[in-house]
Amino acid sequence: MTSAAVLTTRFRARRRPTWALSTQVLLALVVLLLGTVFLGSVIAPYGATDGDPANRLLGFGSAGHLLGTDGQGRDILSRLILGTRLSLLTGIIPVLIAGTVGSAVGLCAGLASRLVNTLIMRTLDVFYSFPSILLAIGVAAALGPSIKNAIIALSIVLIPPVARIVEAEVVALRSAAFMKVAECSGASRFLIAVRHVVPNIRAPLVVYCTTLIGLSIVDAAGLSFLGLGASPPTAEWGLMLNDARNYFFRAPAVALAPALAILLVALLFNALGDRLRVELDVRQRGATP
Amino acid sequence: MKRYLGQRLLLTAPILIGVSIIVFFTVQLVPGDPISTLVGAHATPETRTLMTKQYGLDKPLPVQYVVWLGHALQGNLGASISQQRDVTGIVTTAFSNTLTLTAFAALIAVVLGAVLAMTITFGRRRLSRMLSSVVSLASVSMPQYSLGVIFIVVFAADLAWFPAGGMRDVLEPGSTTSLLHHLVLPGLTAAAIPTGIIARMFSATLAEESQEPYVENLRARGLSEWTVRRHIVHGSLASLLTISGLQIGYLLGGVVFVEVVFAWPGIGQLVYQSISKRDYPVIQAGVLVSALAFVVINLVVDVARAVLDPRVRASGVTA
Repeated sequence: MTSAAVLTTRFRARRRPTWALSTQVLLALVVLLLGTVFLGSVIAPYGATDGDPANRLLGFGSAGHLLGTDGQGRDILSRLILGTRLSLLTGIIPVLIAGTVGSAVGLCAGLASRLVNTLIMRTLDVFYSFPSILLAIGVAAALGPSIKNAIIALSIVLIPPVARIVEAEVVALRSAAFMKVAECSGASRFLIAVRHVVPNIRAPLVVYCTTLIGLSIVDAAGLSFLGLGASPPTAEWGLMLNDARNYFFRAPAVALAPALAILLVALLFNALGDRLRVELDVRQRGATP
Repeated sequence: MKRYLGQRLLLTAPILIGVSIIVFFTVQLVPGDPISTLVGAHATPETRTLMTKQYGLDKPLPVQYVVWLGHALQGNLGASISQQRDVTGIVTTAFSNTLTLTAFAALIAVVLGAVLAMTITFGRRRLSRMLSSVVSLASVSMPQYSLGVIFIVVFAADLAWFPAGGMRDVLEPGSTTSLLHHLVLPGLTAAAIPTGIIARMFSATLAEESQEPYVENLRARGLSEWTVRRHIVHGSLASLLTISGLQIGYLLGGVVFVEVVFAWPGIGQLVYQSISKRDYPVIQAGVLVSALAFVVINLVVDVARAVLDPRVRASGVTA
């Protein structure tokens, strides 16, 4: 055996175990989607608003228009590609905001005194007492229809579930020996939170937020579908779907493309969340589906 | 039982108050001043002051909230801006239609979900593995509007088996068969996710219950497999109720999209139409009524569970 071989084995042994193929494929797909976000305008064969009234409602596989054209003769494939940006961003940004704010709230509740914990958690229970999408609709409608407001509404709606997950994790950690040691050695609450709690709740948080992205994309496209997000002629999947409702009987394909896009992307993030749960060995506490 | 009921009701009160506060303050987010909308740009300051006083908008927000809540408790939810009718009437009609759809979808979800769960737990290995992967795929946050659109394209536009939307035929408005015919597609769409979740969670409960010592005891006594299974299912019924109850609650939220896709004249469709007309009182009332229904369903489920399962009664209310 050469020294190089020994070196590689040692290197391998120290490396983290590699992820399963299915996880890697899912991650690659997400990277591909993100690539579409940045390179959308390069890949797309037509512009988002380039209408061709002579070629309205073409079917799948028409010459020059792979997925056909919509009611205004715009190329569906191009709009789908260009719409990825908004649909994905309105899915990811709320999760980032809610992930940060929700974690902070959950950390405070988990590490605070019993009274403060009860106050925070019972307040969150109120948000839990009705379906989140209703609250999102209410807030987005009140703020007025725009993408920014849809993002704000979704961020607000996603904070309670994140806070609840984090709180459950923190409470479970509190009885751990290393927490007691840190407390006894006089570490401040802030230091304990940053040095001991956060690293330990990172994995479940990442897993949960990945699944939330799927939900957020679905809800964001849903808000646009209801007229509470992007406004025409923007290329956005929910909006495209709503527009396609006018042509259900004349050109069903127009509706199928955005419908499947949203469905598949939601499934992608959910599957990725499930795989990450397995890979990072996370058991979910206090989560509701 | 009385003690349990009392505790549970006591727990509902703060939640109801919280929900009403959220709904009330959501509408305060609306940009612009409602008085300007009412009196127009050329009104004199005197008219503005008069109108502000008349609508109680000169009072502090908490006072406005109490007044609004008082009216809401008496069934007065204000007047619709776009329809010159009182909101309560509009919302009541829409809500009864939503309940019809929700009840139908809930029936599909509970029955189908329970049957799927039993097949997954007790069925042959290959069948159960296949079913459980389908179920876990369906129970994720699937976009109902996508599913609804796919259903319409396939079963209404292409095969023309079912109508693509609406609730009744214009020609035979009172007919039950026509109503059922219109219910199939929206019902299945709304039921898809709850069915998946119920199947997944109930099969987990069944698997857990199968590990209980009494099951081993039953087998040891030589009872047939079917009888043993009956006991397992019976022992898990209370949790089926809890799982289903929660899902029926979520149905009320998800049904908004289903109603819009299928033009079902319920709360969701009403809210959707009110959004484009900026009819805030109607949106507010719609959200409030759905949220209340969710809270009430949870209450009913918890109480029913206590009636069914003495263990729940004994352990008391856990928040």
